[in-house]
Amino acid sequence: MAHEILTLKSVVKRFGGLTVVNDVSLSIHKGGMFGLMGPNGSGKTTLFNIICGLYKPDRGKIFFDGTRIDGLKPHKVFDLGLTRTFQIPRILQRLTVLDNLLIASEGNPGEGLLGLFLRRGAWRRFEREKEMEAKEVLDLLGLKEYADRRACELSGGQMKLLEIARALMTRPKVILLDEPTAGINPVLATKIYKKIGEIRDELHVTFFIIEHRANLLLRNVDWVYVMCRGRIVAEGEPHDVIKDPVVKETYLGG
Amino acid sequence: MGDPLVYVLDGLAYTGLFGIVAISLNLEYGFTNIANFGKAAFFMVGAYAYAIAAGAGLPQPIPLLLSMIVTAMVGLIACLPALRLREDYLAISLIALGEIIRLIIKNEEWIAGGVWGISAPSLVTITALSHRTYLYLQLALIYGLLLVCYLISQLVAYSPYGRVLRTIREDEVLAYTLGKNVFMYKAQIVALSSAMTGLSGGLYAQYRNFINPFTFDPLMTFTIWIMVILGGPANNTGAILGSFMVEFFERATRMAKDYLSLPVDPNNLRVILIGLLIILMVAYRPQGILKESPVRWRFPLSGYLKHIKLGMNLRRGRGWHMRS
Ligand SMILES: Nc1ncnc2c1ncn2[C@@H]1O[C@H](COP(=O)(O)OP(=O)(O)OP(=O)(O)O)[C@@H](O)[C@H]1O
Ligand SMILES: [Mg+2]
Repeated sequence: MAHEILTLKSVVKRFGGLTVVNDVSLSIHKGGMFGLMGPNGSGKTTLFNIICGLYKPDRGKIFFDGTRIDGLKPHKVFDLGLTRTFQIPRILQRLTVLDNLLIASEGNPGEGLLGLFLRRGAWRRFEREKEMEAKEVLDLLGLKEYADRRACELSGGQMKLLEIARALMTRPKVILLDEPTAGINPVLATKIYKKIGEIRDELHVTFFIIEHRANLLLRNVDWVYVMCRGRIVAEGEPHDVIKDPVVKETYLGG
Repeated sequence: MGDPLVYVLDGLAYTGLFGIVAISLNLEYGFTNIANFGKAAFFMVGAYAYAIAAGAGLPQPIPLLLSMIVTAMVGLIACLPALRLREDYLAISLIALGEIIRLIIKNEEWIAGGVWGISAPSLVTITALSHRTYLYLQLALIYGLLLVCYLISQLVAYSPYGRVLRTIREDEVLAYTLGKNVFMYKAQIVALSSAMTGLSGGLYAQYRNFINPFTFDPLMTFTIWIMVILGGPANNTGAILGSFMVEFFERATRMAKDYLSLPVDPNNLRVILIGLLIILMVAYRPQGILKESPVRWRFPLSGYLKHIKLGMNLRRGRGWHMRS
């Protein structure tokens, strides 16, 4: 059995009287591609927000690579090797596309005040390397020609791509993708998943992906969780989940 | 009015002094979106720290260093609890804090003379100088330190560090999820910026030789803000330009009133003109006169040097960042 890298145990989150995440337990295995689907408002994004530390769960435990992470601040969770993208892209509009990627690279000696002044050679070298890496990533996603443009000049679809590009820059253990292909045309969407698959194989990054296009998701993941009204209502390998009567009824529309 | 040259030199001294404060506010507001409305108070802390330390006989440049250290500490103590607040609350609490500090100094005579003020020995101590020469030496001192502050700010702003600052400015949540310790960065910027403000305060005290609490009213804070907004938030050169413009307006209108007869009180002319300018700026050029340049690191003056075309072949080797 593969090593569990992310485990949720009976996680509960309420907003006022509304229980948005209700007793969710799941586990993600190292090197896998995991899917999360469910109707609008079922709590998927909220679950990601809890995992990455933006929300504190009301109950339950979360373990990441052997460390308990519920209650940790987002930057601590990131440091442990977990990164995410956002459903509505969070892009640094006034910065260049390249800067939007470089900001995600870890361990830049120039990001500390001391290193900035005392290790100028080191951080400039670091930046040069990362710049090359960033350009490769941009090339991958067809954004290379925009590298020096301000991010606000991109279209909605391109911003989605930029989010993914940024996530790839961080070289984390786990990437949570919140609807990576929303608003992107089907051809490109298929390409993105192909790319994600390649990255997984090459870099052994684990992916946990929220996706509304069921067929696309089911074709690409090893294991899928289905959420409905805050609960996990089904899980399994894609071909089993499609057959699940509960899923057919609640999600795929009977 | 006496020697007109002295008047100009004095204006330049003020431009330099406030240029330092404007640069420091720019680090906070322009690059990091920390709305510090306590600048006059921190400037005052620096000035008083200098005056008290120098008055107690501490050898130079310890009083000036103390202005920086004390102000940085006061800045941190004042801002740290409030940094977790929304920016408008931060602004209000800092305005209030500034007034509290000022009123304490004003009313507690034992600290620094209360309303009578306190004298501050000059750093330029060579005797038997003409007034002009004295001013030139002061200008060298002030502009030398302005240059240091400018170079530091350029490095802080146009570097990986500056990229993090801008990320915090644009989207704090994103900065957090990308592993940046937002709170730590803000604390560092407040400390650095307050140290610069304190330095300027100390320089001001020794330049004027005398300070009292009336100089540091909240209006001074707004004047500094106007410099940054005019010159261009997130542009260090713009901050200095803004400082120059405000100072120029102030002096020009003060002189103009001797020559013009206007339907308005000439003392208000400056306020009216600057108000008009601000409205025009916000409407037509919200990014300020000089707009923000990209993060990528450049040698602080290379952009200008290139324009001047000194015929000097700027070392291209270190110029990966210099784009054609
Ligand atoms: N901060 C919040 N405060 C109050 N309610 C919230 C908050 N965040 C989310 N909700 C509510 O929680 C429910 C689940 O929202 P969530 O965004 O997690 O759904 P989702 O599964 O991601 O939906 P979608 O597919 O539309 O993205 C919704 O009813 C939403 O209104
Ligand atoms: Mg969602």
